[in-house]
Amino acid sequence: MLRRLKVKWPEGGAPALERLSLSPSKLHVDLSDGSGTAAVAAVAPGRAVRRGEPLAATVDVVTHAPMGGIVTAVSDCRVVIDVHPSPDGDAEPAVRLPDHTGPVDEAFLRSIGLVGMGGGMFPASRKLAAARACHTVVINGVECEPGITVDQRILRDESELVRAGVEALAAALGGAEIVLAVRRERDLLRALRGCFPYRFVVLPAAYPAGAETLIVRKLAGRFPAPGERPTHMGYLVHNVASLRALGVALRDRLPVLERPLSVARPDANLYRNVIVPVGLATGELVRATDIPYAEDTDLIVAGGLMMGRAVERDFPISKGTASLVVLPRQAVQRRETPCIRCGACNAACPLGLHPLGMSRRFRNGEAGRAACRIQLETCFLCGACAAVCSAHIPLLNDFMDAKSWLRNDLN
Amino acid sequence: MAAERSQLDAPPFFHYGGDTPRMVRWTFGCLAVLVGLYSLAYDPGFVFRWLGFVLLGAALKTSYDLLATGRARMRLDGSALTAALLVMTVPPNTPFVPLFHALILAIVLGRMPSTGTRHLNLNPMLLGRLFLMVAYGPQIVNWTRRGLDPDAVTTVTPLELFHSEGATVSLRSLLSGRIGGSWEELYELVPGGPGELFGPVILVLGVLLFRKGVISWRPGVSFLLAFLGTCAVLREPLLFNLFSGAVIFSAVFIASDPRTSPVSVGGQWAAGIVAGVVNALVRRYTVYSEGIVFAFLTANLLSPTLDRAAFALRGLVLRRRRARFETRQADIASTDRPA
Repeated sequence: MLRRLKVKWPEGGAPALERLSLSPSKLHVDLSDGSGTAAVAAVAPGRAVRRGEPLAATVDVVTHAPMGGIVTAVSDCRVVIDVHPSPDGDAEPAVRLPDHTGPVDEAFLRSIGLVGMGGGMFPASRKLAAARACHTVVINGVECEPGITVDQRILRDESELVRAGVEALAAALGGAEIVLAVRRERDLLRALRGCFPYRFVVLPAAYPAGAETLIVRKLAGRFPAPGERPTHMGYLVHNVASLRALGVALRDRLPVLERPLSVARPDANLYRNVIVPVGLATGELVRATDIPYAEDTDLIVAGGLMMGRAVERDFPISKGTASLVVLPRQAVQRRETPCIRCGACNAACPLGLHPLGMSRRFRNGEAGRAACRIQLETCFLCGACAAVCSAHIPLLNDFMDAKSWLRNDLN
Repeated sequence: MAAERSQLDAPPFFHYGGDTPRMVRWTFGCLAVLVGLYSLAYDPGFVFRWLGFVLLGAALKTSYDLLATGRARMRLDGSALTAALLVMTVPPNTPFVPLFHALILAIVLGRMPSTGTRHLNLNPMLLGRLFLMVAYGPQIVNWTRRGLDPDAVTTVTPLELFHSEGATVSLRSLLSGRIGGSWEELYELVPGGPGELFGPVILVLGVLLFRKGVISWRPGVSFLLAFLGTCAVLREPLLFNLFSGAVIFSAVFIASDPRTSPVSVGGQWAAGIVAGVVNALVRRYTVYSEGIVFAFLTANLLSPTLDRAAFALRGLVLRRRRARFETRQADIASTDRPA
């Protein structure tokens, strides 16, 4: 019913990528690998660590110290480091990875601690293991969350790193084809065509065009079936930031220690793209970027306005944090009113699901029925339905709860 | 089952949808354009009559809420819109009492879904119109312009003329909304209500409402396509049928009624098709020259079923896709297994 969500971009184009010179007092390094398995710590409290030194490992991911310092606390999911004040800042000497020769493999991806940096944080080593029969590697540069521009900046400014990463993956798959998926934007396309000698797939500049499912649909001509992953269809899809991190690992022999991300305050038209160490507190980053923030009246949203979540100022930036957006609390306050049955949610769903029907059935305790269950399983929680709802029904909340209820039910 | 979660902490934080008061405002604005045109062309007093009934609709709904719930706040919402639409689709000289009766019935029935009877999903304006057809038949087929003695001449709208005599007025008159003169000196041609005139303007307003996110295009377009398709099959003049009566007005302002039309995309197509076919059949085969009331009430009755069917069908399609995927995976696994 309503127009597709048109993404709002910063006035004046995407800001340049800057490496902030920060002197944080503490880093809270997240050890999770997206699969929920507990990490085994390689350090104990009191131990001095150098930048790039392994802190902990799970089956799929090794996590490294983003900056040197003293470990002050260790748990299953987090290591806290008291950072040494370093006169060299980010140029502080790092523990380098051993020389890597030959094609990239699962062990290498595990050793550099690479996870999906688009937000999913799925271990790259597991993804590669599942993708051995893939014929195409897709660079996902379709950044569709409103206000986020970091991926297009990486594609423009650090194209050689992205190329190094994607070509290594294509070689690992025995010479797979490389495809660059980007959103339809004339200037961006013109800039990228000179940097990337690959096939381009252009998607609309409308949310949620950057979802893996929709990119694969464009490439394969059909939607993945429920439960079917892109790798089953022959496509290994990686986010731009992940490929950049792989490029850094190959060129500089550095594991994943930093995170490029967008920091924004849309109501003040303030947008910045910065590279910061993983584990930095969001409050510290917001302060360093000179973005106005008052805890009692503002809200920090990590991971995008559509799929992200509100976080506290001490929330640490993880490898999957693609953006921080500061919003006035007043701007996001909504009051649910009775549904007027306009059908906007149905029309907005990119998968053709029935959000209102799913929500009603869930609220009536009928989510377990086959037709509802399969739709809930198919939904990838893009939130397009909730964003267009004129009655402000928290559809996305309902689906998150329904999915967790279904998981518990299955277990 | 649903866990409590603060709206503040949950995505999405970016809202793009319209809100109900804004949608109502836009709809009133578009209706006011039509009323203004009608007043300028035919009846300067109509705009005041229309405004009076809009306020009466709002007042009746407020009174009903006060009686039913003990709380009330007067505002222009669905009930006022019901009154606005009703007045625009009956002859301008319909007496007050029948309209008042119809309005009470429409508003009470229209409020019932929110006060308990959730299965009733019939367009209240159409219910009011149906009540008028049943209880006040003669008054709502008298299209004589105000000031003219209804017994002095026999008056017809272009659609009624076509229905009784098979004669059509020029397309130019229909498109411009300038209806007048007489047919073979037997009938005086009169315009219908504002809802039956200015077809091209209504289409433009429909596009505007769609662009503003107020209405969905599917029910209206499917209604028009099905109506024209059925007319073509019945060998009826297509453009005359399209621009006479309230077909275009209904496609824009009635087919898209959110409360009574299906929510699902497939359901909206199906409901539009049902209404279009029924309307064409009523025009051709019954004593009524126009079948909007029957057409859309039939579609309204089917709405819940269409939504349920669309939901079940989507589930079925997805389950089949998954079954095919699982079969493929099983085949691959059996091929890879060493002999």
